[in-house]
Amino acid sequence: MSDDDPMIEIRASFFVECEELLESLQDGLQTMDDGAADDETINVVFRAVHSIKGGAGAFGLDNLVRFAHQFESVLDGVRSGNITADRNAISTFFQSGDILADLVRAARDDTESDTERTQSILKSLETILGHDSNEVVEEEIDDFQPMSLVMDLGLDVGGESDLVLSELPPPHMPVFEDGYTINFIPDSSLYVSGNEPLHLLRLLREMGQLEVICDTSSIPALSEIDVEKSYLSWTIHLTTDEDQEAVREVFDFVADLCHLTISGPGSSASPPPPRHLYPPYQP
Amino acid sequence: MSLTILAVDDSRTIRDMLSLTLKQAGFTTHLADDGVHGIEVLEGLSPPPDVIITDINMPRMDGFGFIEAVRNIEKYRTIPILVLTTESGADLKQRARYAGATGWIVKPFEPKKLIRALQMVTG
Repeated sequence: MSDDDPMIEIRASFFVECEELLESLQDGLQTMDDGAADDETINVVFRAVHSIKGGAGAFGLDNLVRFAHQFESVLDGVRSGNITADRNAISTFFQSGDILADLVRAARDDTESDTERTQSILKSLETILGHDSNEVVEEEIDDFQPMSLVMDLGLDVGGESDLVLSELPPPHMPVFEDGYTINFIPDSSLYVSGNEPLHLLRLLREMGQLEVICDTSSIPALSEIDVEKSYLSWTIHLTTDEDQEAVREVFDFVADLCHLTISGPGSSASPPPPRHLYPPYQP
Repeated sequence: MSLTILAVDDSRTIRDMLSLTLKQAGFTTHLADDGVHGIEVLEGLSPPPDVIITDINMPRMDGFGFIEAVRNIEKYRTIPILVLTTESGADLKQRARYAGATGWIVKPFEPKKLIRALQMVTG
């Protein structure tokens, strides 16, 4: 980070925020210890640890993320009623708060923290959690890799021209000799969720050469159209150097809201993802 | 592509980072620090933002409640809403989807992934 890097200022602001969060944490734990806690008290305590973890991850503060994650997991158990915050547990929470404060200050001042004490409290939290949480922490931390923020986005976010879609339904499935063939049949819930097929087609277009066939054969007579329903589907042929994972990633947000098959390089015989993994949103 | 974004997060650090990243991408950003504030800011924006980004764990009104409240206002029924969260598990995504979320971004977010997610919901 250079001197004029705005991240330096945000990092300083993060440590100020941490002090405020640690104070909220301490106040909440005291209320729990006094036996006067309600649901919001434990929510405040949870959010304090959660926010410290969130910020720490952005700055690559591994030790802080690791400890906060474990502490947060236990507090989440208390919040959901799976863990009882008895006198012993609350005592461990106070000690965890102290460790968290030490780790925050060690990160801020670039000094060493008390590793032995940290490990001891991690062990106590693990006991409260009731299983060997190391595996869980490792696994979940994989989804939470700290990274440095590089602001050169290197993305072409331009491209104003619209796609030209062939609206004639194919009499039968076209045969393409190379690239990927994508069959995309959106469910009505895809539109309700705020997703939009045209956006996905534009992203595919940026990946290579695109041929799009829109099947309009399911559109009923005008008098029978339900504006909340989905009638269109697409057969898409994409020629690209990207791998199938990259092609599938375009549909990440809608995989549970459509019928999707992608055939071509890297295809497996596995069936397409379930069409309704999640219940559709009902306004 | 020039977008207007409403970002809702109770962490000042995350709000600052979102604001910086989105500004550097050339986007206009409006900020709110919880769901209740998010609704207030949203209703004060005309035209509405192109995308809403929201945290889940927030005081007063959490992200799930915020998304449901937004979806219950007719003019925001299909506005893209991205959930910003440190959890990436199926449960969280399912709950967010059920509340009406369009997609999700896992914290700590890489700027490129954030912009990519915005592209996925705006083209």
